[in-house]
Amino acid sequence: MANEEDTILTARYLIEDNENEYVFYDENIKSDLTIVKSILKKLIGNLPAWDEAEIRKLHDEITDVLKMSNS
Amino acid sequence: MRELEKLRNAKASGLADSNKSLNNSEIKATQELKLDDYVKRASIQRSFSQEEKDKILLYNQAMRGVYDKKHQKTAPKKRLQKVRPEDVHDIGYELNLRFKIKRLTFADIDKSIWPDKVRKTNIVSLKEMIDVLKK
Repeated sequence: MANEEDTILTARYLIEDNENEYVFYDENIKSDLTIVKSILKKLIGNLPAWDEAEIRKLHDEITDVLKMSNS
Repeated sequence: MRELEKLRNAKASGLADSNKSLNNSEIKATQELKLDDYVKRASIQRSFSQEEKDKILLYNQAMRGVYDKKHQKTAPKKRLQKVRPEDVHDIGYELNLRFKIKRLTFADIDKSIWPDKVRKTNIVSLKEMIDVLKK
């Protein structure tokens, strides 16, 4: 991530305890990696499996959109 | 502890002996000096052996260490409002698009981003997370 502000905000979202309304900023606070991965996965959202069928499907969708915009 | 007591005695006797050869104004000025400076000054008035000097300096450093620890001031931590999902929603969306363009799966991302230390301990600090996201 290029934007430092976004980087810190995202890192805080992934690591800090969000039960309390206010938190004390501390770069040394730690969190369990399994929990962090779970939050990160939810934040990024769905990513396709990128197998051949998925790529073909995406390709067809893009082709349809282009065809529609050209007609 | 016994070593510390010996050093304390060495300091006391050193001070007493040296003070005999100093006049009142000199004593007052000397009391205001730190022991490091005092040893330098006193060694002119009375010659300390190297062993004595080392002991006094060691004692001084030990005492100063205790003092510094006691009086160490820590910077106040910033009190911030917690980060809500809506604060990072757009960032998540942007990351999603970026990974899609690169045709990456979450497994690909997971495999490559974590440092060895984090992977081994299964614990990640905020600082480490910032470093990971900066890449």
